[in-house]
Amino acid sequence: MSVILSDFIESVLNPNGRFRELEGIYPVVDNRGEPVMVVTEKTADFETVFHGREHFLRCLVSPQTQDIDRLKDISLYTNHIECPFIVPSIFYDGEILVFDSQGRTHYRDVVLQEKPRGQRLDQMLDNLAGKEEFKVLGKILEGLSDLALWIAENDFSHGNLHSRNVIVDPLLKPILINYTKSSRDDPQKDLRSLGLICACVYLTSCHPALYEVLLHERLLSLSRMSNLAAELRQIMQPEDLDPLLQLLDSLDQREDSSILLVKRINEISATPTRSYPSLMAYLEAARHVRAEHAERRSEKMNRYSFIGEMHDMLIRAREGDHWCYIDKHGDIMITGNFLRATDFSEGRAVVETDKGYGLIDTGGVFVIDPLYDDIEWDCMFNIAVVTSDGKSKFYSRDGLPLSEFGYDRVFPAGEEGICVVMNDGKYGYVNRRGIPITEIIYDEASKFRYGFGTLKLDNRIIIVDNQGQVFTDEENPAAAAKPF
Amino acid sequence: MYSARITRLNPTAFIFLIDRSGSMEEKMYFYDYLIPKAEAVALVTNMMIREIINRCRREEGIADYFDIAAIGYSAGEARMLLGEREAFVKPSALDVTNCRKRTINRQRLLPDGTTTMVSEDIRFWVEPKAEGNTPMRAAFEKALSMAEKWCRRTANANSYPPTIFNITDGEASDGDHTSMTELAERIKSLGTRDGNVLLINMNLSCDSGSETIVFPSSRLQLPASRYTDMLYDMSSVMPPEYNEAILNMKGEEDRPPFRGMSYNTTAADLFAMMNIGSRSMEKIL
Repeated sequence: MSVILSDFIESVLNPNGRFRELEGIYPVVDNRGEPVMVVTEKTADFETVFHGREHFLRCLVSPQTQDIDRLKDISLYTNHIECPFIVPSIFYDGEILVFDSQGRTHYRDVVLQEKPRGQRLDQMLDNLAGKEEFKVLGKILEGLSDLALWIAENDFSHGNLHSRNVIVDPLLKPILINYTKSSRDDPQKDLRSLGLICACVYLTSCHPALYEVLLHERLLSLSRMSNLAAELRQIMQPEDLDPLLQLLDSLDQREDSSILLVKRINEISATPTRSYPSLMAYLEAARHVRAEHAERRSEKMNRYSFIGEMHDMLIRAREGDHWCYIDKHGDIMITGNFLRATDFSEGRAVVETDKGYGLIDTGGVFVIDPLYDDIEWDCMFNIAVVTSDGKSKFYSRDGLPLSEFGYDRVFPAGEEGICVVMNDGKYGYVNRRGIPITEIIYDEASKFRYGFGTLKLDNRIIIVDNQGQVFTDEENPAAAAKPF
Repeated sequence: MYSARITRLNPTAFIFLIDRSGSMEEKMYFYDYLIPKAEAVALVTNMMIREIINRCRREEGIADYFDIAAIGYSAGEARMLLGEREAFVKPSALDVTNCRKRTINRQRLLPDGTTTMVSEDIRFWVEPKAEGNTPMRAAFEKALSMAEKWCRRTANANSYPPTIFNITDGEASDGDHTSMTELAERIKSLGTRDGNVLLINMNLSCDSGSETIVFPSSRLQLPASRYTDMLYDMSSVMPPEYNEAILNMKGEEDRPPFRGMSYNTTAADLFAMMNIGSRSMEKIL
C-alpha cells in the first residue's frame, strides 16, 4: 500500500519517534493548526524548525527513481561547492516514518534545507512598492548580477527561478531556494529568468510604485514589460533606459549566449538607480488615484468571497452563493444572481441560472436565454455551442441559430473554426456555422490544422480540406503525413 | 487511456455516493473505535476530501484541480451533501467552508516498540446520518446526470474521466439487480477521450466472521449471493494503470483485471480503496 499526503502530514504534525536523524524537528502550523506547506506533483514542502532554526522539509510523496537520483545529486553538489547564493540541501535516505491507511509502516526519503534568514524577493519588492528605497533596490540588483555571473561560471541551473524562489538576506544578498528541479547543464533558462527579475527590479528603482504595477497588474511577462519600457522612453534619459531595453532585447533573442546575458544583467545593475521627477510626478498622480481607488475598492471588495480578473472591463465576483460582474472599483455592473459565471471574452460570457445556462453581453442582456444544459463560447470564431437534451447546436454571437444540425458532442474548434463533431459514436467535420463538411461516419477525426483534417474509417486514413474535398495520400502526401 | 494530466483547465471529478440509510446506525470499527457506520463513512469521506484539498495546496493558495460532489441517499431521496444544487464544488471553496471538527486519537506502534497517541482534527464537510431506506437508484440517477453533464462539457473532453465511489452497507430499496446494473452500465459508458467513468462500489463490513474482499479478480472470490453478484456487475473493471497499486494493497498473488468493488470492507480498507481509486491525483501537472 502506498502512502499518501495525509500520511506524511500526520508524521510531520506528530514528529516524536518519526524521524531517524532529524529527531527534534517540529512543524510550523497556521492558525487552524494545519502545517504550513506547499504541495507539488511529487513533493510536499513543510516549513519546520530544527535545532531552533527554520528549515524547509521536503517530503517525497510520490517520487520516481530519477527524482531521487537528482535530489541526491543536488545534495552532493551543494554540499561540496562553496557558494554564497545557495544553502546546501541534505538528502536523508529513508528518514521519515509514515503509517499508511492500513497501519503499515514505511520509511521515506526527505530533503532538508535551512531556510535562509531574510525575506522572499517578491514579498520584499511588494513591501518596497510605494517607498523610495533606491539604495536598497540598487544593492539587490548588484547581488542579482553577482548571482548571474556565478550561475554562468558554475553551470548551475536552478530550474525554476522566479522571485518567489529567491530570499534576500539581511545584507541584501540573494539566496536561492527550492532548487530541487535543478540540473547542472542548462543555466540559460535561469539567466533569462534572472534577467527578467533584474529588469523588474530596475523598473521598480525608477519609481517604487512600478513594482506594484508590475506585480498586481500582471505585467511581469516580458512582452508587457517591453511595452512599458517603450512608453518610458518618452520620459527617461537614454543612458538609463537603454541598458534596460538592451536587456529586454537580449531576453527576447533566444540565441543570445550566457555571456551576453550576464553582460546585460551586469550593465543594468551598474546603471544608477535614480528617480525621475517627471516620471515621479506622473506616477505619483497615478499612484494617488490608485491608492484612493484601492481604499474605496477594498471596502467594496470585502463583500466578495472571490474576485476574478478583468476581462472586457468586467470582473466576475462571488457574493455568498451567487455570482455577478463588477468593475475595478467593486461596483456591481451586472447583477443576475448567477449560479455560475465565466469570464467575459470578446463581449460575451456564459452564465448559469436556476433555469440553465445562457450567454450574456457586457450589458448583462441575455443573447441566448438561460434555458440550456450547457453552452461553450468560442470567442475566436464567434460561435456558441449550445447543448440541450443531449444535442449540441451552433449559435451566432447574437444568439441566432446557425443551423438546424445537432450533434452528440462538439469538440473545440480547430483552424478556420472547423470542429470535430460526434454523432452515435461516429465522427466528422462541421464548419463554423455547424454545417457538416463531411459525413459523420468516421471512426476518428483529428483536430483540423494546416488546412486539412485527417479522418479514419476502417483503419483507412482519409484527408479532407476545408470544403470537405477528399484527398488520397498520393494526391496530397504532405497532408497525409500529419498524424492523429 | 487514463493518462491525462490534471491541470486547472483540465480537472477531473470525484463523486461520492454515501448510503445514509437506517442500517448505517450499526457499529463498525474505525481504527480502535466502535462507532456507527454512518460516522465511520463520514470520517473516511472527509479524510478523502481533506487529502484532495491538500493535494491542491500551492504557493498562491488552493488551486482547483478537481470537481467534487457528494450525494447522500436515505429516507426516499438522494441529496447533495456539499451544496444545494446538482453542482460540483471546487477544493478552494471547500477549504474556506466553515465546518465542525472532530478530533480522532489513534495509537501508533513505533518500530522501537513504544506506542504514541496521535491526534488528528478531521473537518466534517459531510455529516453522518442514518435514517430510512436505501434509495441507491435515485443516487445513481443523480450521479449519472452530473457525470453526463460533466463529460459533455467541451472543456472536459480531454480530461481524466470522473471517478465515482459508492459506499453502502445494503441493497437498494428502489431498484433491483436488473435496473441497478443497467443504470451502472449507463454510468460506466460515459467518459472522456481519456477513458470511461470509473464506478467503484464498496460494501461496508457487516459480518465480522467473513473476510474482507477488495478488488476481486473473479466473481468466484466473493461469497455466492444475489447481492455480491449485483455489486460485482455494477462495478468498473479497473484499468491496468491501477494494477500495481491494487496488488500492493491486496498483498497477495492475484491476476488482473480487477473489479472496482469490495465486500465486507473495514474502515481502513475503505480509505485505502479510495486512495487507490483517486490515484488520478498523482497526475496533477
